[in-house]
Amino acid sequence: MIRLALAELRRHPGRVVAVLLAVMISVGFLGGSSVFLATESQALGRAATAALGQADVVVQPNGEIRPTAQVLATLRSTPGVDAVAPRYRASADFRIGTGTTAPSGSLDLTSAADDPRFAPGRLVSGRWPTGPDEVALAVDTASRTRLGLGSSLTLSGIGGGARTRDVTVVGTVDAGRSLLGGLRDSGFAAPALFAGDPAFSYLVAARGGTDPATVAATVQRTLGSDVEVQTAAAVRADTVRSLGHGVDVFRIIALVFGAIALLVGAMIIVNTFAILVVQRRRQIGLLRVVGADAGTVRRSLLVEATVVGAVGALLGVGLSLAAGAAATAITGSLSAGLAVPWPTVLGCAAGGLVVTVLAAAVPTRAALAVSPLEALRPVADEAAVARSGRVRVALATALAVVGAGLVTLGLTTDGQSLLLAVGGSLLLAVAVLLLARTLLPPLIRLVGQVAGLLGPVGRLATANALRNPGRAAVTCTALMLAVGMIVTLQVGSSSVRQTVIAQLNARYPVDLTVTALEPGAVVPDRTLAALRAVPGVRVAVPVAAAPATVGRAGAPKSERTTMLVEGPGADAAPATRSGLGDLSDSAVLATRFTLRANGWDVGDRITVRIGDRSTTLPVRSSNLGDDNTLVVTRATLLRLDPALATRSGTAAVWASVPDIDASPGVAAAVRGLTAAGTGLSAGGSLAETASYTTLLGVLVSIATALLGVAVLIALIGVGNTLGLSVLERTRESALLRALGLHRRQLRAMLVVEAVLLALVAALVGVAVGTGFGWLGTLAITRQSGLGSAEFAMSATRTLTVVAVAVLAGALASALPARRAARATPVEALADE
Amino acid sequence: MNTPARSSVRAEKLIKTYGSGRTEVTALRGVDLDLASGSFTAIVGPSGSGKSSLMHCLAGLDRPSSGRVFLGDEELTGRPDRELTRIRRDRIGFVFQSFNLLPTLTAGENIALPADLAGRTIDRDWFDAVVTSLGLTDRLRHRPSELSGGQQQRVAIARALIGRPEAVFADEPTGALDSRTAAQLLSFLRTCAQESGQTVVMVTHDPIAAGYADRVLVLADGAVVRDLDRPTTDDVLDALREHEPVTA
Ligand SMILES: Nc1ncnc2c1ncn2[C@@H]1O[C@H](COP(=O)(O)OP(=O)(O)O)[C@@H](O)[C@H]1O
Ligand SMILES: [Mg+2]
Repeated sequence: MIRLALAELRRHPGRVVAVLLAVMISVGFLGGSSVFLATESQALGRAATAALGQADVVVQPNGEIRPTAQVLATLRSTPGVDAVAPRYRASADFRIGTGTTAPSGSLDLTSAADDPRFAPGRLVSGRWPTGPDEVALAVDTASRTRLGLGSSLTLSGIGGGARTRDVTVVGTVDAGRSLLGGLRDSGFAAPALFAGDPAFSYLVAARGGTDPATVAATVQRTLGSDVEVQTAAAVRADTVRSLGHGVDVFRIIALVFGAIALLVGAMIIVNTFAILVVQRRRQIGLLRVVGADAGTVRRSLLVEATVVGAVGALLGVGLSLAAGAAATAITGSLSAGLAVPWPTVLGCAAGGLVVTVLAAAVPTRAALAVSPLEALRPVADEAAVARSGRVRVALATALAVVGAGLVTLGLTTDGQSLLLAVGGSLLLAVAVLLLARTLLPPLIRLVGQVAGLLGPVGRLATANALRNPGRAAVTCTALMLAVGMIVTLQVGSSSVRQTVIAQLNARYPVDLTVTALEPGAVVPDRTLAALRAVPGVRVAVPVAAAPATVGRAGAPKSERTTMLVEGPGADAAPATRSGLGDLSDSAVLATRFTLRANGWDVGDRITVRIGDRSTTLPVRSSNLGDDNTLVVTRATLLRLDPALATRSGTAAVWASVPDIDASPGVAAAVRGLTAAGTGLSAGGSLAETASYTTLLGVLVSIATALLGVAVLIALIGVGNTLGLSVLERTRESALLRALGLHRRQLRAMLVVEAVLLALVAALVGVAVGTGFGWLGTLAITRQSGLGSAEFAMSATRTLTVVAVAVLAGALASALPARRAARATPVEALADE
Repeated sequence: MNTPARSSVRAEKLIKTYGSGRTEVTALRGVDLDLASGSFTAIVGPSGSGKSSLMHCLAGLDRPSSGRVFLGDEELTGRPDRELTRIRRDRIGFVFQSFNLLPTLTAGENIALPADLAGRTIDRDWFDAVVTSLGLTDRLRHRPSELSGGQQQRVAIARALIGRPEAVFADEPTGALDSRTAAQLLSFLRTCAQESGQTVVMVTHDPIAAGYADRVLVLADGAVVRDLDRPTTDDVLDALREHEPVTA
């Protein structure tokens, strides 16, 4: 029997290519992500190790900070200590060149001690910095910023202070690097650059032959409880462990998406073997006639599945290694070497093999039903009538009822909204999958009506898509599952974003404000012009503003503060979301935060004084201005400072950025325009809108890419089902050709069939995904008390998914269609 | 009745070889024939004599290695696939030994298929007449799997006739039928030739079936060896025996 199975595989390798690919991709995905994570963890460990050099003990102040020199002296005289170096750390903004468009960013600076034993990395080129005007850069930072030996840059805000320094790059350093450790730019400087800062930690080298733990204990005793003393080994382990939580999250995500890919793969395997059994009915019947019993026939099919599964799993292992290496090469962690967690990778391969055999076992049961007599009867198309249909529908209904109940409970009660809704949705999803076989054929018929308008080719394609409902349903279900999940994520993330932004909008009536901080300063005209030129900024209106002394009427001088007072005129209304409604000549407006911070109550009379003029008005709560800013009418402000009317330039600009998707770009441009040193500050909802948009955008992109694997497998399934069907229909194709169907029409027929299946699957996926995405948003909103949920979906993104599915479906039919078109009319007449 | 007979299906020096080199097989070695409009011709001969190859070449289903084939005054040989396909669709009807029908279509849809593919509207009266005379009226909504072998063949004949093609080619149309059903079918084919003026060409190895034809061409080893006019079944049997390579 094994010989028979192998012969079958050798003769028709094409029939199992889809199974091979499905297993390979699923195993490759699961194994690849574990290789990726292991390599990243290893790189993380190397980076943690590199940072400490050859230090044996690390001393970290954690109480009162003592003078560095004193700590150093104490440490040096502690028994067992060979050498000590202080380690400084600071972050700084850097700018390359001058001008508003000069590349800039922020840099994590670490001190490099003179003693090479405490080097924070491996020098790649140049030398370590020795003076306060020199830095060395991590190699990846150097390549990203295109800075090399001898380049100069300006550091500002070193350690949060106001210090600014022009420095020269004197070296590049390999300090290890890992996606999980964050991908921040980092540099190294001599201790002199940190002059005045307290040391972040002290690195201690123990005298040869001394146990680091003993030295650590001695140091702890000597320095007391103001410092935390750990051996270097313990610090490294801590770093890896704390960042390891990131690894766990990644691992869970990878597992979930891998499982989805494997599930979709399993459906395709079931389908492939189901079709193989149908195609081999005669052969199986013949085997039965010559004396093979049903079990033998079934075992032969399982041997075939095992061989295919094993080859696919092996290829998957290869793919794991390649994908893991490729991904870590991109993050840069590969330089620390590829780490292969063999037990996990081989476990994934074994999993793929087991799933293949199990998935193949389902349809091979049908082989048992082939009686010896069947060898002589032609294959009946309607053979696969849903016998277990009623049971399935009943089960699906039960699951749907329970699922709907859980979802309703989750959405109407507080506490476990999310958990209940997710659990309920899972049950609903299983119900939908179970019902697919019942629901899809009528849908295919419906969409087929449209295809029928294309003429006989469309009608024939529809009839073909429907001739085996079980096969069509499984093919569609795989694609439906993948598309459904992508759309769930898309709708869920769009809606959550919309909900959060609705809250933000209520809080911030103005999307973006740019204000000059210093008294008398203005927003430069070129900044206003630059802002107006940023794509996504609809209007940017100058708003008169001036710093004023404010306080409760009659309050002593000590309780007064200086605050920017903005005086928007009527022309500022277009920059706000709903006009200047709250604004009147008889009040000053303050945010709730401003009220609380100053101990004012609504209705308190506030005196606003600029120079020697002042006015006293009741304060009202409004969101119109930023925190720590007061808003009055332009008229009121001009009465306080008439010079504003004639002065060129204003201290504030209000702008509106209506397109949420443009917000990340605008925010980045605004960051450049208001960078440290410009004396400008940005406010409004833009920054938060931008960060939500970016975050959710990244999450959706990653998830879509991961689910793309499932879509790919599903489409291989579409191609495979068609390919096998085409084999079955060779004589039919030839007959159609004899009767006058053009080769082109025959190809078109297959393409229409594929598009029909893909379209129906994608449409159901979109419908179901939209529902689940919305349910998820409702649950998240309820769970986190965000108020009322707002529905949102991006038509372009969703239509893109549908278009990709349909296009790929058409593409998947290309090979089978070519094969079908090769059928010559003569074959229809050939004796069987 | 059509005298002088207008030529409908014609072949000149038809040669068909399969394969090449050592495995080359010559199925037809220079066949000339001329079949008149409204004639019912049977091509008989032992298995392997080249009957099917001849029919495939005459019907534009396959290309001869050399020689020419004409349908009416149009030459079929040397035409691109697109044109051949269109000619098959519009001017030729087919009945095969088995697997004549598309399983996904009903009997009625199968009958209408060539017209459907051509985008022609069907002459309803003619459709009803053909369907009635073949006794298929209450079978039109059935699928092929619900029909008997004889019914399936009758559906195929209805399909071949519905577009009133100039020529109808039938390859062993009675091969899978019992003798009574076969007799009905053959009478119907003869009626088509006589009453509609269609040229009917039938390949068969059955002398009784050949007995229904006006003219019988006996093929042996890729060449026409006898041309019998209105032969009886016994004439055909004799002619066949004469050229049988091995006595059956
Ligand atoms: N596709 C083919 N390839 C190779 N040889 C063929 C092919 N078709 C027919 N032949 C050969 O051509 C000869 C005539 O075959 P055929 O026309 O089918 O005869 P008949 O229909 O009278 O049995 C036979 O020897 C047969 O083996
Ligand atoms: Mg033959």
